[in-house]
Amino acid sequence: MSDLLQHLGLGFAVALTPVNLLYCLIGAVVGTAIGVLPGIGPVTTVAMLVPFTFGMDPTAALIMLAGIYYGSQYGGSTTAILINTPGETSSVMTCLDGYQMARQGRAGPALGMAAIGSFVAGTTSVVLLMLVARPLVRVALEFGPAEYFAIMVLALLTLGGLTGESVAKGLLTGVFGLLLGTIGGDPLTGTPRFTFGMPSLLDGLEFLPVTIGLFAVAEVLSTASRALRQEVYAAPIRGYLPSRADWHACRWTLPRASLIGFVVGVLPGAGATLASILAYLAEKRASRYPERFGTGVIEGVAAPETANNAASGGAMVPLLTLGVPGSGTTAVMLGALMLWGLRPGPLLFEKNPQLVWGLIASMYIGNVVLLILNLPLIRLWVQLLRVPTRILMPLILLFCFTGTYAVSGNVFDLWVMVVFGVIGLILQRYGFPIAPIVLGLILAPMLETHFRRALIISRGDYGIFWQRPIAAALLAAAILYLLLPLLTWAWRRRRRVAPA
Amino acid sequence: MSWDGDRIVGASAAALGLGTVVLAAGLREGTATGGPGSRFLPILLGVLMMLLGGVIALGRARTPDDSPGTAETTGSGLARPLAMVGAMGCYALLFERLGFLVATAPVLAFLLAVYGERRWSVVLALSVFATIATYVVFGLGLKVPLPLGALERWAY
Repeated sequence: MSDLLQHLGLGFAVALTPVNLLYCLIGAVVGTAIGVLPGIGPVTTVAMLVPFTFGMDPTAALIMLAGIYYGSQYGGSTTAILINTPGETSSVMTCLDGYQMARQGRAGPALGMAAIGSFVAGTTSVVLLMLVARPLVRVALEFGPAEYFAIMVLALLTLGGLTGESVAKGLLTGVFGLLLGTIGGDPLTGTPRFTFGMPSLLDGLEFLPVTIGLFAVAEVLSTASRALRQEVYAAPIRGYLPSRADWHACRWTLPRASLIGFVVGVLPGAGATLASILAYLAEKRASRYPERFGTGVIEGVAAPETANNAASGGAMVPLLTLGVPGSGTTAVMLGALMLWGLRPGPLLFEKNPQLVWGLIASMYIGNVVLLILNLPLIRLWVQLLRVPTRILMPLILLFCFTGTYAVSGNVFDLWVMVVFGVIGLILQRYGFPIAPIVLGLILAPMLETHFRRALIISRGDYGIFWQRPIAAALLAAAILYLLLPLLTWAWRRRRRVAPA
Repeated sequence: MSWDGDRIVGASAAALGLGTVVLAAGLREGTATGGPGSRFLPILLGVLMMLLGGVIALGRARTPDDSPGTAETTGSGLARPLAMVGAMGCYALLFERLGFLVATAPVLAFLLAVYGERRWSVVLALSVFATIATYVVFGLGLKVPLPLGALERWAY
């Protein structure tokens, strides 16, 4: 315990330096603004901002990017409550009761409870992250190539399978991402693959142009193809603090949703959206008046908003301890860590304790900053909603071009960004998830290296993946995950047939 | 059987997988370690792409055409994105030749107009202001090496 407090003390010493505090503030405010604006998600923003962090100290840069991540979860609730449009997909459930509360003249308490729930969840998830991370790191330090290969396969399968409308579509984009990751030199022998004589491809596809194209450019193109009309809730918003009855109604909601959100966030691929849906359903089930959910009950706002924030804290666990991202945003953050020359994984705690613990401490501070800023600034966020999309989107495109060029100073990357913008638009249009492509692209070299290293160690014996218990358990979980839809289908079919 | 989005993407993925397998088969395996070499993963991924692409393309062929997830692609819905892709392509071509300042302002003005901004004063003012502001903040402030192109000779 004293060890933990000592590390936390180091973290606060790092996070409380004026520069890091400033970046924490910038991240939290930019993240909230991004969360407020419909269409631009945290993954887009983090990807767009990574190029501009190269001159910065990695700790400050990571603090800012993490601030954007959890700040956007705060901001997403504002649009959900005021215009019935989720700023982030993770705020979808908030629309159900939040907008109804706004229509009943209770937008203030809904926004207030969303902010307070987010604060409670953010703080709880940071405490849990701190408690879970150290034991997990100790286990992960024992991992060899076989275990790393197995955990990456599991992460890809779950992220691919849980995002998007069908498992096959998610898996396809994950495989596509891995395939993109094989472009360039073989990680072990340096043999060029799929370079087509282009020197720019010898080092492989840069992840940032691909990510900015797939998320930001595709979103701008997608918005251009549909008319966006934003009807902002017009009545004045008064009294942000929830009433005594609201507090009483949410006394169990906040801890329950925090726990659900954190656990779901830790699982690779599950993410904030699933966390908010599960928390909402759990709340409805636990309620004495489930039939009133959807008509404007405060628990219907508190549960999803608490859970989605807790999930973003939970998603940091696999990223920091195993170097395996659990969501699209943490996948981009993993890529950023690698661009800064850091190696994510258990050794990060040993080699860069000031970075990891500084980040954890900054998340405490960021949650306080967000609570202080959010309630007084709600009017500003409402004004931000009134910025016309026709002006915002071209400016985002300008930012994408500048950021992409800033990474390498190579026009080739601009072409890569545009091509992947078109690919992203097509995939989005037909319900193919994008995040697995980024995860696959980032993980491919590591996955291949670990796979081949494991086989080098075993002298070509594939049994190494089954003889090591952790690797075997992880691969078994991956196979079970693949077979689960089939088993569920067979079970349902059997139940249907049985009565006859 | 109509060619909706799922079928097109599925069939394209299967074709990409096939192309990958063919190209990867030509790679030197190059391993002296007992394990798989350079072409193992690309071939495996190519085969998986073919299988998954095939499942999606054929799976859609058996389901009704109006099931969820199938977006209608209409000519009017595509006009603006296509114009924007064209503008982005021109911008990428001219970015280094003309330089950031000269290339950005007209492209930004075009994008604003395509996106539906009808006030020409706003289009002109915003495109010029945003271009200069971006150059000042990123080019001069953050030292991003944005090309000056034709303006280079006057800058130094």
